[in-house]
Amino acid sequence: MAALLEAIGLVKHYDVEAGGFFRRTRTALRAVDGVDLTIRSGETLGLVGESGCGKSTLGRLLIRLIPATAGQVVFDGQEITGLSPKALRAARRAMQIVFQDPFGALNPRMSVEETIMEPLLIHGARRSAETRQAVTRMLDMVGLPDSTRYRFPHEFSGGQRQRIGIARALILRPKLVVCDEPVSALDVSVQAQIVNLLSDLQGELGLTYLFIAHDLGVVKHISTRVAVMYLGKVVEVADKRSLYARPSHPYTQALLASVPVTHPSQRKRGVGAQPVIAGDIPTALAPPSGCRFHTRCPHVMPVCRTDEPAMRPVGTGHDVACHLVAPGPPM
Amino acid sequence: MSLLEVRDLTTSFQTGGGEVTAVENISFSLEKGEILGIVGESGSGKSVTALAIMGLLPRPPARILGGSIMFEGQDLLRLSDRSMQRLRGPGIAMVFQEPMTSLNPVFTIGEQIMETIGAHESLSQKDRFARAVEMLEKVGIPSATSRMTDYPHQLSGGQRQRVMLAIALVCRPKLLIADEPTTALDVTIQAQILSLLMDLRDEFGMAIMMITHNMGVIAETADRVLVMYAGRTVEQAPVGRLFDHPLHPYTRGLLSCVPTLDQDQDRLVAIPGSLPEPSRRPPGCRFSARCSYAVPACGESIPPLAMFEPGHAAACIRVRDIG
Amino acid sequence: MTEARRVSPVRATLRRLLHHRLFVLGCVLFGIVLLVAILAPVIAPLDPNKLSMRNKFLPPSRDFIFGTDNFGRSLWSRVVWGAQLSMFIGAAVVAINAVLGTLIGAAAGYFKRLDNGLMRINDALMAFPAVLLAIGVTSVLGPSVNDVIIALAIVYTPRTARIVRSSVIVLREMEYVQAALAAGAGHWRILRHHILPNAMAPLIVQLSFLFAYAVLTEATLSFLGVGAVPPTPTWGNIMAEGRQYMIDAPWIITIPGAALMITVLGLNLLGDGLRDVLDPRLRIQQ
Repeated sequence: MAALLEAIGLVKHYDVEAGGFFRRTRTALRAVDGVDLTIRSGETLGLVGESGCGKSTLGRLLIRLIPATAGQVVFDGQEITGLSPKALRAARRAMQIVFQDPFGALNPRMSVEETIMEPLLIHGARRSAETRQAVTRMLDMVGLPDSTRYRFPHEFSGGQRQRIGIARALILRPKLVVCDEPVSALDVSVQAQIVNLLSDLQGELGLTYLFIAHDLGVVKHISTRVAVMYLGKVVEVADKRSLYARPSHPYTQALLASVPVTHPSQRKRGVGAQPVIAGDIPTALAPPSGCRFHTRCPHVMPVCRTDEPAMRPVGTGHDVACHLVAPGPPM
Repeated sequence: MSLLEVRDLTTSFQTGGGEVTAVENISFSLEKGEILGIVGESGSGKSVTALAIMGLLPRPPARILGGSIMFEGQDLLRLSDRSMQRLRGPGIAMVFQEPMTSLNPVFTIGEQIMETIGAHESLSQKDRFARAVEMLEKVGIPSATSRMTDYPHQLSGGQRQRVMLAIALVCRPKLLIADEPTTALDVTIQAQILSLLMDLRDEFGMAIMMITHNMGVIAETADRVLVMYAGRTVEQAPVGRLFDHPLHPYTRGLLSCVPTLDQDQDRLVAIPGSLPEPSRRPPGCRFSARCSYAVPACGESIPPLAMFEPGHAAACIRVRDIG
Repeated sequence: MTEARRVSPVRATLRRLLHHRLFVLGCVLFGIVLLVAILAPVIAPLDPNKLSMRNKFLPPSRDFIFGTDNFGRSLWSRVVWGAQLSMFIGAAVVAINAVLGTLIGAAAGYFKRLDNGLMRINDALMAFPAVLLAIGVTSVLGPSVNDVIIALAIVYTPRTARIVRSSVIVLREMEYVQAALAAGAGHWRILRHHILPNAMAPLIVQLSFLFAYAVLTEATLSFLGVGAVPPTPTWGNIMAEGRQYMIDAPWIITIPGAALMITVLGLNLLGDGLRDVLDPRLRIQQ
């Protein structure tokens, strides 16, 4: 499969001011700190990690919704990090985003029709029978009755709002859709509907997804490949099967082991049983030296504290950044 | 005598569109040291039930229409505000979902724990300090003595939830109500907190009401489970039986619609439709509009909670037909 | 779906407003004043500035329902025309404020680069007590109705700008704004379609209170003799003149005072009602 999007050395730092009245210090919050990532045409790349790891920021960087501090993104053969505002607006047709919060993602003063139609109008279409027809097709595609088009967001449930958000993202027929935690704000009984809808639409329209989530079960279900992030870095990328069957980074292993069991008979805990991983996630304002996971890693070695591990293959299409699998400093 | 015995609890809320019931005829009991899982989605009434037990329902707009809440033999619904206040802490304590907003940002965590002790026991400042430090150590806060002077914003989300637990448990409650205690936390931190809760249960012998929407949390912790939907109990069972033989179609749906790590499926089994708003609930069985087993009779009257096995009850008229 | 659910947010808001009793009372009070102001030529045909020394200090009677003042002018005419002037000044200040406040607030809130500069000027203006600043401005511009309007606009625009700015800052981060950006929308479209319509609610609330402040401050200025020059019939002027005869002819000061009170009370009730209904933070969640 060809690469649809390729990110090289992507960095996003936010300036954070701190300190007292007289001595203000500027610190960089390293939200995304040097990420190489490839998204292949037609696949779903799952992006998992805990809060604050930078996965949402990375998703927005990849479609240049926010400008990068450094690094490049090549989308469909075109370098998009340096595009002029005008060229960028044109390029945006092919990259869209679905958000987490179904309440904040829709303008409360715009009807469903206005919301779904807006991207067409932005790109020069006129309000006409044709654009209305396009809205009808999208409503049908996301499973909403046509009669909902004149309603307003407050009249819909979370799941229905998410469908409206998906229709808005797809009306321009994008190639890549960044799904930023699209089901985590929904009631569990509704999540499966949206996951199934996204799968169906992918088949129908030949979409490529970047699926950002913290729920490892959902990511496993929907993804082709999975990337794991920790504190602004991608620490492991692999095919879904390979990653879930042979997680190689201690962090990936810890994540998977932390997922609650699916049946009470699998409970591991007894009196005195230790949780799989101790400690809290360090702050991205001052990430640990060397391997960022070394403060929590059960297999930490001296080299982990000083040298940052490079990405190395451990199998076909399975890359890991860990000194355990590639001892010694990178060459 | 059970530690807690809730009988036919019915509460309502006054809304812009009139009065709607939040929970209807909820009954359950909780023994000493037992963990009862209460599962439900938004609008199921699980949090309202918890607040009613704590005596913290905002009245108005809430109203208790009927039922009783017996805790150690006394009806909490008949207690004066003053007695209820004395009971919160040493009797029943609660931890909430959002650890940031549950802590007061202008006091140190030490002050907040010591204040809770002071409200219920007359101890010297020194003894209270020692108790607070001991409690912080118990909930796994490293170098507890020096953290006593920290403010909530200096702690991470997981640590805040630990502090909330310390405040809740410092008076050794007999019942801890945990309302989605790990929902706002990351999965590695969730594992730590759940593990901590289980250890503390063993150490203190308290009962826990574990309120969650996450079947995984139930599978990890609960002894018995109550499944709620749109304000009513739809199923109640020991945890093993619930996962092996769920009776109610809603419970079955909940168990199968969430993708898990140990199975592969092409499509998820989705429950169609969405949760009914309190003012627009269907007549009869409230799940009937979304239920693939529904027959016309389901819409006629609300099915009663019927016992099918010892300790295993479900509110569905089709249990025998759908096997 | 029931018919009641097919309503736009605007219609739903109107319906909630009509159920708010104090809002309706506020509307009635303010509506009366507004109606009196509009109908001034019809209901008060007597020239408010016509002197008649024979008729001075007449208490309220059939001929002069509000009585007359120290120059024998009909107090009814003066108060009614004063209402017209108050309404005109209030409306003009509100209009200028709405436009300037929105422009400045939106620019500062949306374009981070402009924020610091604009808001520091704003802070400087807000550091003066409103009445003092207005006195300063009128003493530079000269005391006329137009200058009072300009003064009040200068005094109150910073407050409006601040409110617009804070809503814009919140709205700018909303995901629907991000979605429009992702679809390729430009700044103008985002401001016009996504940010400003959603920033209107707090602005409208502010403007209704502002109307009251403007009327009150204008009255203060003329009372202190730095507003519209006598004999222009403003409530402040009438009260200033009536002050000397408070014991012998109390109606001269109390009637315009009551008119002022009714106006401000009406506007405040109206504003409170708008705030209850429009401000989601105070609304009880269903």
